[in-house]
Amino acid sequence: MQHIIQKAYSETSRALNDIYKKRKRTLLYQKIMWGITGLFVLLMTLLMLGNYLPSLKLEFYSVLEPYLWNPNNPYINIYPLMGLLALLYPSIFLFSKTFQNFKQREKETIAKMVKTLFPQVEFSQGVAPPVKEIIHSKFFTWAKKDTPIYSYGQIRGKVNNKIINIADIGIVEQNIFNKVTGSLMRIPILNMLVVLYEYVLKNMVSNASADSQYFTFRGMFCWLQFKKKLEGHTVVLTNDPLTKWERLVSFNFKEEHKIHLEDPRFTKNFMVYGIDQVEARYVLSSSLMERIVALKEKFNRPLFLSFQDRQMYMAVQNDNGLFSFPSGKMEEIKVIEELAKEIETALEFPEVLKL
Amino acid sequence: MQMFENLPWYSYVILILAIVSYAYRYFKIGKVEYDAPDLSQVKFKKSSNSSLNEEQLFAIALYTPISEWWGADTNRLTFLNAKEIKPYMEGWGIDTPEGYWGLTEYFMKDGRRWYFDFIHHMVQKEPKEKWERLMDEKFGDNERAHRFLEFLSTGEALDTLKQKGILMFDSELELGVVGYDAAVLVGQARKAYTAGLISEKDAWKVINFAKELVLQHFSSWEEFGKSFAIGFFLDMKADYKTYKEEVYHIYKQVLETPNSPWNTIDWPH
Repeated sequence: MQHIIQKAYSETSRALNDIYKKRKRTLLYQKIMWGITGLFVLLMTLLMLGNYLPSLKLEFYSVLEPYLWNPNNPYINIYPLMGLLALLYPSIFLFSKTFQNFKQREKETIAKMVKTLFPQVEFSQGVAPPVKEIIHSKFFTWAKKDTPIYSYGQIRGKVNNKIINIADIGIVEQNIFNKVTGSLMRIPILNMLVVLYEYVLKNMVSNASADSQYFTFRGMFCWLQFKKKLEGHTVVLTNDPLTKWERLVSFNFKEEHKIHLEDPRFTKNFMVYGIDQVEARYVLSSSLMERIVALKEKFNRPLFLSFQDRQMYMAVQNDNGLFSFPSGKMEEIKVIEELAKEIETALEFPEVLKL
Repeated sequence: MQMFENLPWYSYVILILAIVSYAYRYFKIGKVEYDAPDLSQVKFKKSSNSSLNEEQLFAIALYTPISEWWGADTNRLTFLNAKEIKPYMEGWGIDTPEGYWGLTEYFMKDGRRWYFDFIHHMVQKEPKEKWERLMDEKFGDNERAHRFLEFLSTGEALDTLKQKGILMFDSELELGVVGYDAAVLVGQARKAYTAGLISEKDAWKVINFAKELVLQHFSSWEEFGKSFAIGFFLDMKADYKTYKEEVYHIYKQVLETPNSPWNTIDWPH
């Protein structure tokens, strides 16, 4: 594999350098755009407070004094806002233009890399996300047909006569956090503070690309045929309190209950939900549990698995995305090695789990 | 109106701009809403006095996405009634026995695969400089051929069908448009029979031909469906955008709904 990685690197090293520069530029414009937006929202909030709550005399208000409403100049507070708006338009234009260029270059380079690294698989970009499979997997507590789901590319490969599909997806679920934020957005003044934190501050300090900022899940999603015919479903989720809490408060899986398994290594890492205790044990044999733990250690990131009908689904969280480049320097061969390792591990998945 | 007096000059400019942009958006949104596709739910209507066997039901089901758009029965040869399908028959020039047989023979022999097979191969294998000459020699100034070329060479067909979740990989374009030709043959035979242009026996002859055609080329409803969708995309002109959207919406339901003929009738092996 190393010589193919080397080949892919020599083919794309210039493009990687170019993408790095493009992303740096995009991040700069992203920060400028959100900086201006932040100033605009902040100024508007302060002016509103100054105008409607004059009793609220804060020390720094003296700075705003010349811009507060007065009978001699009733439009005075409009000027700074108009000025910021005038700056906002070109910054939005510059950001969207550079962001588009960066994404296009990234997309082309990823396609080239995948083709060189894995000539035996089919790779497609710009495809619709596998919504039906994502909902069917039951990984995502709040996922519905109309949930915003994005696909960054999909691979179809054949391993041991089994077709495996690997997609890079991003989901914006209406989870508890987003529901609370949505409620706060309906409260005047408070909504401006939410905008300042949620959009302005996060975008100002983050080095992540603008499109992966709001995903509740970003990463790899795979599905393939499972050899056992199942009546119900068994879902294996990463053992963390938030996932557990989301599962508990959701009414979407009322029929399922927690499956208590004996393997301590497995239960330390995972929790299992299903509708049939017997079937869950039939699916999750001790050897399979061991292999799942080994797979989790290999990825070293949250891992989800589910079994239903004759299908098996797997998701591995990857905040950078499978078919997007990680933040930071990209001239090094490490970027390609990581991509190759991730796809290779996923393609070996039926073999590793002995499905 | 007193509130509009004694404003600075730029306030009037802002006010005019606001009114103009509001009016523009109002009419623009109005037009979009008017042109918006009517995304209906599939019904898979069934007649209670159907006597078709499994093989005949399979053949009839080849036209399901478009037949659902019309709201026709899924289990009999008759397609709505003669009055309802008259505009369609006139539009395709098949409102006479001669017209019908002329087009049917064409779809049996060549169909849209005559365009697709040549143009797809040309786009894949031949250098771009040769295209104009090759197109001229084969099709002259045939408008449909040039539309196929545009959709295939720019990748518009592939990109659109991928975005809609109908196709997933470039290689699926190799399925061609046989599925579409077969579906058209089935649909037009049903309509011609309903209009009294052909006998029941002749209708089944055509439908059976279409059935054999798809069985030679595809091994599942999924494969056939993709070929149908490719042909449908290429064959419909740009001004049929709304109709296209509606049929694709139905197509996805036909593939996914458990009681769809595509999920209840097995693909013969």
